[in-house]
Amino acid sequence: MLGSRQKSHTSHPSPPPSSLLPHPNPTPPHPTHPQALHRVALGSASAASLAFLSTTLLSKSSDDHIPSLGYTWTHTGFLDAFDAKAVRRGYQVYKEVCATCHSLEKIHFRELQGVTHSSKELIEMASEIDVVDGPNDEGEMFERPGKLSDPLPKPYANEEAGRAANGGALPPDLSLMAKARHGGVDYIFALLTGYCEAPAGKVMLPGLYYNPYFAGGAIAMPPPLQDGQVTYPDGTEATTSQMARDVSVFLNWAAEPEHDERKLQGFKYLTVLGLTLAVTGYYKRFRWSTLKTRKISYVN
Amino acid sequence: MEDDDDDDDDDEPVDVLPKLREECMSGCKKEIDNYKACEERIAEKGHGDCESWYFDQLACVDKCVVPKLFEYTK
Repeated sequence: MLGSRQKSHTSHPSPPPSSLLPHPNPTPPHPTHPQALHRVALGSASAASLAFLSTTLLSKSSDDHIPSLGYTWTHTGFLDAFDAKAVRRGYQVYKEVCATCHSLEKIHFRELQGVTHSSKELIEMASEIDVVDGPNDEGEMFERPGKLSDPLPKPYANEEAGRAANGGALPPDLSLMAKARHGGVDYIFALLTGYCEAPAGKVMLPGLYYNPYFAGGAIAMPPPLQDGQVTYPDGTEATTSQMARDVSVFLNWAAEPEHDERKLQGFKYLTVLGLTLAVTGYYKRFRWSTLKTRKISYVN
Repeated sequence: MEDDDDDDDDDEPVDVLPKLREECMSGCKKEIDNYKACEERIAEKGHGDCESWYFDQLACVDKCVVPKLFEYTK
């Protein structure tokens, strides 16, 4: 059922025991006395209402989506940095799969230097795209090859074009997605790998796909990842989980490019300030000890 | 796509996630049974949906899959 979009015909288990279903009439023998009949009617009503409250019938979930649980990332610890290889692979997945529809406006080619690629590689990658620049001295806009200072290319010129090409649903910019959603990286990974069949009874509008991690369950994006979709130059197997993991790490980097530096500086500052606190605290207490241990005695 | 049987390692990579989920389903019998009960209830009634019970099922599978999944990825 999960992970496949075809109906899998598994044999159904035996029907649930009848005690789970609200039973209109209990099994005690039918009395004939009218007063007893009245009591039986009340008894059956309360038995039916109690069965409704049975814990096996109630569901624990009450939201319009399920939360994404914490995966075992290698960069979530207090002193952990991003896996640079994963960020580089993730950029490749973004470029080959996601960039068709999703922009990454806040990231420029120059920011990838030293993170995913070398400057030389990036100059070459940037020059492969054409960028509209201008106006020139004649007042005209012109096209030129890209430079390091240019942002990553947008798939659509504007929001309207994005909506028109995607049935009215604009594929959002992903620059800050890892910070813009509860769950962050976990949410992105869960969303990408979480497509499954809709539950019984759920009405799905045409053009929407079911994803339990997406608020409301109905997402306009079709499952974007398939096994073997991308070829990693370092030989890593490009399974759906692998690609989802890499692109999630990449998007986390894109949302928090200061991450590694932040944790390093944070650790340094907290250590130094902590030591300073200890020394200053001791010195203050030492100097105040005279006053704090004053005694007043009344001699009479 | 290549259909050569001679290629050693040109097979499509197979994701481990669907298999992991199937395995983890065995630890979630209660949730699965509840969901199936709901399916039958709404089939009788003709209206209603089983999304909450579906979520219980998925959450149970997730609790089992999530700690293990990344061992199978780089």
